[in-house]
Amino acid sequence: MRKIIICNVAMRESVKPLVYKSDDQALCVSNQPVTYPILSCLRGLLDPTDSVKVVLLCKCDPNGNYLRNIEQFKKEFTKQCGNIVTPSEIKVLNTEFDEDKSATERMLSEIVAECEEGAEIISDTTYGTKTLPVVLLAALSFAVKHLECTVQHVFYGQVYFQAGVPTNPKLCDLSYLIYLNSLLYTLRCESPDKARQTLEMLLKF
Amino acid sequence: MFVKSASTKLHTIKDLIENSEIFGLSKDVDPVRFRNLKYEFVEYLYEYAQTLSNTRYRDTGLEIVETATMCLQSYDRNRGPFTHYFASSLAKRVKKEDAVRNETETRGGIALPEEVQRQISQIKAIAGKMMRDADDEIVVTSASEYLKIPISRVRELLKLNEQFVVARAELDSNTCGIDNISDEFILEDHFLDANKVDEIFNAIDNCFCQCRKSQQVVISKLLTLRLLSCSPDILQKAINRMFFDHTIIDLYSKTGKIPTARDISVILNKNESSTSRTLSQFSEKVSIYLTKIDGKE
Repeated sequence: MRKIIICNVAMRESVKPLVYKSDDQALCVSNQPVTYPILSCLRGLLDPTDSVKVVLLCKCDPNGNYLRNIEQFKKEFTKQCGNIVTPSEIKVLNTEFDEDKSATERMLSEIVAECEEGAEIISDTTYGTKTLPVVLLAALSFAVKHLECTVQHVFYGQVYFQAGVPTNPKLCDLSYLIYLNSLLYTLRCESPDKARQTLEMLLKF
Repeated sequence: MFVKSASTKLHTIKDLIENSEIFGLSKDVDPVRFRNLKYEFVEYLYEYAQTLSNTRYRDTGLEIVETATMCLQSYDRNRGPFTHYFASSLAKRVKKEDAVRNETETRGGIALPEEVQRQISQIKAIAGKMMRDADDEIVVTSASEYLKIPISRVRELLKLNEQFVVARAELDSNTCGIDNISDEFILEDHFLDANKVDEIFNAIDNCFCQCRKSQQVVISKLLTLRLLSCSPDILQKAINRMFFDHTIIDLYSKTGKIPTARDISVILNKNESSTSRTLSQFSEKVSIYLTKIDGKE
């Protein structure tokens, strides 16, 4: 199976590795601390027969932290998944540290260009600027709708900062938003009231 | 070409539904995957409903989600394809919604308590089953026993019903009469079982022959129009039937647009409420004919 791993790269100088917990019993989450939440369970989502491409999304911070953090990702990937697969390609998508329309449009276009038809996508949107998760979800929605991709996971590592120290690390999954969004855009209801009832029903389904 | 490509789309979406991984997946074991598949599955079901009849199901998002939820929870693979189960359940659900809406409209927008509306509906249902008028003595007595209310109350309810129908009729001259006429025989609902299609068409042909020429002209056009929004397989079966009007297909091919019932009335130089009433009465005849056949089997 062709699998594409898409991960936002951290811009901070140092990111503390944490042991993440998850409520999803289907995930096999490692008890080893990781910088990138996706790497705490990626091993269980890959198979030796998979062909894997890694795409790293970077905002080029002025201090160049993103370069160190790219290397950190590669090191952790090898440690966690190296005995299962070796990526056929590691692609780094750089954009300037700029949140204007042209930068986000460029990022959207470049992410979509890396989504291959029929591939499975596993992503991590924990780090990066606030626009990156929005752009990533838009790109993945496109890939699902038009490129026959399947988005298995959109991970987000949730933490609570106490006195600047991250605590209670939890692995969350936002992939359902892509499929729910697609459905909501497709459905038509007789009235706004019925549309609200429909949304409530879908969220409780 | 239109019929062929629409048929392919129907089969494609049916395959996606029937072969969905959701049937073999446990919500507890893989909650993330289940949730994603569930939304994808409901979207397929919405698209499937549009291929069955986009005029009937286009704005029925809520009803489709409700039906999808119920069907997914109660589906038994041994009893047949999911699409049949879903389509049949959806038809009933939408019919119920139409009945509620028609009841409200027939009251002329004047609100009657739900209980009163329910009782009036039940009296009409009893009359329908007995094939008698609602104010027939036997119907009134049966309704009184069934609803456990005095006969005098049954008569009051019938009077209420009449008053609001008359009130609505007075508005007819200013409004489009088509809105007032409830077509209780929904053609499309009966086509869900492929085996029944020929039986339905035979019944329609039979009743069609017994109509006057002037009625046949109206009925054939309006029936053909309704068939245009059914699946291509069903349209194909109807093409050589007596009641089928090829001029409607020709009109559609030329303009690319499906004509409306109003367009048909204009072509025939008739009042729209009159043509709708003609179809409605014909639909009742077909419904009664089918009931008689079912009773004999």
